[in-house]
Amino acid sequence: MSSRKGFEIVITSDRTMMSNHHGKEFLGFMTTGPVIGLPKWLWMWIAAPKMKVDNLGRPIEAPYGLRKVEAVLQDAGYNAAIVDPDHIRKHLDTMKVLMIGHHDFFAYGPPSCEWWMLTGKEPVNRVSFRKFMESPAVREAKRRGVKIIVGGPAAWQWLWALEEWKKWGVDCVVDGEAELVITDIVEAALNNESLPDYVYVGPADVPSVEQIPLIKGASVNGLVEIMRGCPRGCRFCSVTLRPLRFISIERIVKEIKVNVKAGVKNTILHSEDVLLYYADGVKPRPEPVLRLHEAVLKTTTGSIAWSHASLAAIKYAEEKYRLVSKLMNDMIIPRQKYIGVEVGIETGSVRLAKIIMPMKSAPYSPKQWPEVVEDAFRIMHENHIVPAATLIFGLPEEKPEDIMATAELLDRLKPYRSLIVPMFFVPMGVLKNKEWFRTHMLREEHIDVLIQCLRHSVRWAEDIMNRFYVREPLLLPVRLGLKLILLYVRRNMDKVKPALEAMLRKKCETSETGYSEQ
Amino acid sequence: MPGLRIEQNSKKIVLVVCDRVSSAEATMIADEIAKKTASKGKRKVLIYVISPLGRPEYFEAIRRVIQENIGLSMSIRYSGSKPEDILELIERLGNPDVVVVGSCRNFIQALDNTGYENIVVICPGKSDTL
Repeated sequence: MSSRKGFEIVITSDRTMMSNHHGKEFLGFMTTGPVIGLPKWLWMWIAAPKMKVDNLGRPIEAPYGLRKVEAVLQDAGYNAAIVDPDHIRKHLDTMKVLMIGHHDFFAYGPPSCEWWMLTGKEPVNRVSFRKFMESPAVREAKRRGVKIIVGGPAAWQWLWALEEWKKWGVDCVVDGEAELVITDIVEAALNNESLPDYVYVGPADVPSVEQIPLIKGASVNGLVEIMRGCPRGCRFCSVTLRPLRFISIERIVKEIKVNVKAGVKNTILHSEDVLLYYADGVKPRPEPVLRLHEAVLKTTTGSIAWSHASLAAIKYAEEKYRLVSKLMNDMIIPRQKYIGVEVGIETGSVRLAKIIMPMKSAPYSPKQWPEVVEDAFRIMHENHIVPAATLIFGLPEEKPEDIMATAELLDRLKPYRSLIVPMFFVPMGVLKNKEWFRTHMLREEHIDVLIQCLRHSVRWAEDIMNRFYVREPLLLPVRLGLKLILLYVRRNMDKVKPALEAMLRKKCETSETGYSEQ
Repeated sequence: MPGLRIEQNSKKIVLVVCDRVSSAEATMIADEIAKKTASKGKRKVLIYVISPLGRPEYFEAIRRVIQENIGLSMSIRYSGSKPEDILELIERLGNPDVVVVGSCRNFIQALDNTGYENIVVICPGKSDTL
């Protein structure tokens, strides 16, 4: 539904979220760090350029989660739309509810909190969100009595941002899948009824696949959801708390068509584990995965990316069915040079893997975890899949020998093209009541692994840029900016270790231990 | 009767919180909430918070309780800061379960004066039903 006068319900986010990152999703990760080596305006231009909008300020592309909320409200007949953060003032005369979603409102999530702790500088996503909330348009909206509802994957962060909650006049925080619960919260807000302060959507209120509406406008970089939830049950992950649901190819294709119609030809298949699409438990099945890719390729002429895949599924799919090479050689490589994907290593320790993520290696035993990781990295390297991999420091029950095991695994991963990013443990999932990892918990072993990751990632980032990334002539300025950042990091790499060691010495002087008693 | 879907068919609990809640207390409160909710065969809980800490500052005290929860849908409403507020609330809700944590002597006294019995006081190391 559109309105010539303006929208009653405005859905938005700050610039770091409301951007297509030049069509390069991975550049969006730059918004999780502080500005380094470049002027702030240039950093922001590379990481989060402004989006094209229509005359009502509606962006051509918008974050997928916001698109779902928009679709729910429009289907229910509300005068609601996603509006770019620079244009919400156009709706001040009509707006009654302002809905704001984010992946990381306050940079408390990974990896933002880690960059913040290590550098002592606020990440740009936090700065940008604060700037938005304190903008004249938002302040004026609040002054006029507009109700503010916030939500998204980072909703939990408001529990640690009470000063901002109060200062900015947030009326309701919605944590979890909102499709079934958001309409009447908005209705109550429109009727000026009292709202709950905090809502957590448990399994009783999550939507079935049929209850999830199709997006009505294009999503950022053509992201479409192919499944929700994950069967692996890793204890640090919030996604495993949700029931597993597969989206039909028919619905996926319909959403891709919405993107294509808006001129967004590329597609990111979003799932916690793309190869587990209609899988037999944790064992990939070739047929549905191949059919899905065929359908995508038929629907759009653009490129394909995967949001996430598990290393165990990559190994199993290739060794059992040669599925990865079939997908890449027969379907994807004829269209593009590589595919990017996020994967989770988390730890190289078998002991810790057994405790924290016993199903992550499945169908292989947790004892084989390091071998699963190495084999999957080799398979991806051979098939032009470029993983951005995560490690987690400070998992509950982590011991120095676990970090050493991770270091040993990283040595074995040296030959494989990849980016490896260590992250500090943030309590989520079943472990959401545990302690956060802080810089004072850093140990010498962590620092060694940090440096290993930095050297590995800088080396391969140069290779990735030379071979694949940001090669389009129009993106030459972005490419130059990235080269400058890499040059800056390379030049300063030798200073990182002494700085971290100084941080460690300071910790020792104050007699703080890295580990609580376990 | 609350109109929000997430609050429909939910177990209603009044939580009185006066200080920061320790990790042990949070676990005890979460267990108490889960137990009371499950005993009625419900999968949702609507928590009315009475706290002199104010809104949203009371979350400083109860966020651990929220973090302890995984399986229940939860809606949390701030419902006042004074003993009079809890008396009004229990009358409106009709004999709800009340859970009290922290130094809430005034609130316990106010409930005691009315002979209210459906109350659990959470103390570190023990949980007393009055």
